[in-house]
Amino acid sequence: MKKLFTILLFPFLFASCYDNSIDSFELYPGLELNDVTWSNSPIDLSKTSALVQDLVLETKTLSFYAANGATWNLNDKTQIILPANGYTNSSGVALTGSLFVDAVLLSKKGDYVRNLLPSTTASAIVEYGANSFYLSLRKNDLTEAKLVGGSFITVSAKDTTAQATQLLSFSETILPLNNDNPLRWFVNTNASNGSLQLKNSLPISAYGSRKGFEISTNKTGNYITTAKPYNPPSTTSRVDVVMPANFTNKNTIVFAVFDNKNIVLRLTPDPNNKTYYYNAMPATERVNFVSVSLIDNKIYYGSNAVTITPNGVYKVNPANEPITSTKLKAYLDLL
Amino acid sequence: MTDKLFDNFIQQQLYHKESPVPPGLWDKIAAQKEKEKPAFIWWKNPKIYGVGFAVVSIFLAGIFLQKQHNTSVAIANKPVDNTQQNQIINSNSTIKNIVSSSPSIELNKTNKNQKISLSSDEKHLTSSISKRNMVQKKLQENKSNVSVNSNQLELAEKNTNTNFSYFNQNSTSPVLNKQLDFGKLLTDNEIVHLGTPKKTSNGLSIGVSSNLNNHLGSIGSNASETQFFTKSGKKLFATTATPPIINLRKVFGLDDCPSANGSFRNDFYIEGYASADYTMKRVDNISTTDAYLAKKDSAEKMRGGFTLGVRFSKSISNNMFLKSGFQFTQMFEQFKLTTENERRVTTTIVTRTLVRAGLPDTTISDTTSLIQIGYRTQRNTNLYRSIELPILLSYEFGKQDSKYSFALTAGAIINLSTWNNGITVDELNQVVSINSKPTQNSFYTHQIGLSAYLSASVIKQLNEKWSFFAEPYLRYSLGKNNVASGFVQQFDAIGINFGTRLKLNK
Repeated sequence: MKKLFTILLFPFLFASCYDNSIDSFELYPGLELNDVTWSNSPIDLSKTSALVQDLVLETKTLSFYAANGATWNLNDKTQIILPANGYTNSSGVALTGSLFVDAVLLSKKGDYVRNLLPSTTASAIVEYGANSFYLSLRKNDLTEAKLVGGSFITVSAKDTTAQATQLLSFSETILPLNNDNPLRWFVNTNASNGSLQLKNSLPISAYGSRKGFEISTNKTGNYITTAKPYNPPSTTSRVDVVMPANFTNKNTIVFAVFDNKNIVLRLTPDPNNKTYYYNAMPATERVNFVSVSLIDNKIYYGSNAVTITPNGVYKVNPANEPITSTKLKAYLDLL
Repeated sequence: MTDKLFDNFIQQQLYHKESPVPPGLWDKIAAQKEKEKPAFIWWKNPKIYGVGFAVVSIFLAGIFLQKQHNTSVAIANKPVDNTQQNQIINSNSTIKNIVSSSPSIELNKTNKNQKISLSSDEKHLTSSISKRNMVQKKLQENKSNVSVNSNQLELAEKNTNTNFSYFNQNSTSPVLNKQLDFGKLLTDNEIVHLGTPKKTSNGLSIGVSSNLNNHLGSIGSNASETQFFTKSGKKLFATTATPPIINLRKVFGLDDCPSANGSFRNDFYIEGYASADYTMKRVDNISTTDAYLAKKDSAEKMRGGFTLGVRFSKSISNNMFLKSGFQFTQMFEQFKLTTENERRVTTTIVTRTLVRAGLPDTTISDTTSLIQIGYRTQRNTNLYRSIELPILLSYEFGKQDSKYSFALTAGAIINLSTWNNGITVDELNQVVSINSKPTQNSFYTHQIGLSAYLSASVIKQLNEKWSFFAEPYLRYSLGKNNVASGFVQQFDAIGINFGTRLKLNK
């Protein structure tokens, strides 16, 4: 009888102390956020395209008759004068009739981040002037239009800090294409491509005289800037930026935005060290490291303002919660 | 003698020595005594009073019901001959006044307006034709029941024959069923005055009026019995009857002395039992959303439970038992909640060494957050525990000494205290604890719940003392077991109690 009681009661006693509390978490397979591995390849172009899709600056368009040309006040600081006639297609056939000019004006440092445009040449850092432009000509059917030799588009741009050391520069695509750093600047040394004149009184009739540059160019389909070479105040060295595990070179690009200079640098990912780096970062400069990520179609933003020390390693911790593109634009406008 | 002078001196000095008491000593002692009062914590618990009161009330009620049953008086108008009187006597401790010409009338003691008092203090039963007629008249007028405090006498009267039966319910001796046949002794005009039976050193003596004495002749006694004789010397009867005395064993129902004519059971048992329960939960929406309750319902599944208990069982008639005790109930509930698109942020410390061309290796320790998205599954076995007070009435079929018997039981189970352990989901879809807390912050507040209980049981007599029983039961909650913000939970159960019962009385 005692045994029977013991056997009967044991399960009850055991059950009264039974505890099977389980809290499990299963990752969704295929989600970018759960992928914390780094790639040895550059970031996918589709990723950057998707990232900048909502970020790139607005393109303004003007329709004009090729035979008449046009004067286009892009804003209160910029005027574009399109010549009458002198337009061909890519095959050299003269174009008449209606044409279109597309223009983008970059004036703030955040604009260069939004358009993924670093202020570097092949060998040096350049410091932007007040404005940079993107100009292109096309027909209504989107086919490319060009200026014939000897014909120039004239851009008058206000720049109260304009200096004679600034040089006309055009953007070029780095080939072979490296999505991690696809664009750079080259200084124009060919007068047939265009020229730059510093003027204290620009003939922008609607807004009176202004100090600035008058740019003559026949290169379309490129970014145009008036930049000056940057002379580092001290030695340069490699600096690295580390980020949380979720932010990898598959989904994130990192910029270094100088505080007091019109310089925006794009950092290169290092899959081995899982960092972003810049090899010739000048010491003592005050720099704001900015990360922009697109993960599972959600935008994440992070920033960290530091004073550069040689060979420094810095952290950028994006907010855990994604932000909207509108909010990101607002953040970038403050840079 | 001289060698003890010093000892005597010391002894005398010490004997008369009085040590001064330090001032304030008695105050300290008094204060200490105050502190040393036994601290029966449970005395301060009003629930204990309630439970104790309930238990005492149950047993008092049982005893009261038993007494009530014992003291009922029935008066029937059917002629009863001597051969039928045994049947009358079998209804314990009753007085039956059978009058041939009167209708059937019963007076109940509980009916105060219709009460006819026959003094129990005197314990005299006065019967005369005149008085009987008066009583009959009263009975006819009142058409009511009568009960007599002295429940030890039975009067059977038929026409001019008056039969007295003295029956002591406390005795098991069949001798107590002796009857006094006065029919041959008395006429209608004669008074019979039977005195109070008194216990003597030699046995029983009964006070008898002179008139009766004239007819009885004499009452003799010896060491073992009391004898009644007629004038002619004919022995009427002899008895070893024992007068009623205060018997605590009987008061508490521990005396098991059935009469020879088959008195009711007077058994007292203690029962220990355990059961595996199939539990069910009902949720009533008060002010929350149906969607929330649906989500909660999908996350929670009852997974049975068990009950352990001990109860006392007291017979209140031959087949009826009153049962009460305490039982511990534990119900299991499986909680499983899966939440989709759950973001988990884990703070990690990453230590890594940067290997950079032309630079010395740099070790960095990076404390960062790792964000992951997935689905989270939370499982837990929730426990609902209760201390309960069953109050049950059971009817037992079958003979008392039969090997197997069958019983039906019904009653109430009062939930005295409930406490929970586990988790649940709240209206914000957050997993929250349901652990009982001493403060008011518990997810569920507890109320004293009430459940209806119904069972059928099979009892197997193992031996004279021990029995084994199996008792399938159903309990249905009538009260509120768990009250939360916006809804109420109630628990029902089907189970089978297995237990043993021990007969406490002889």
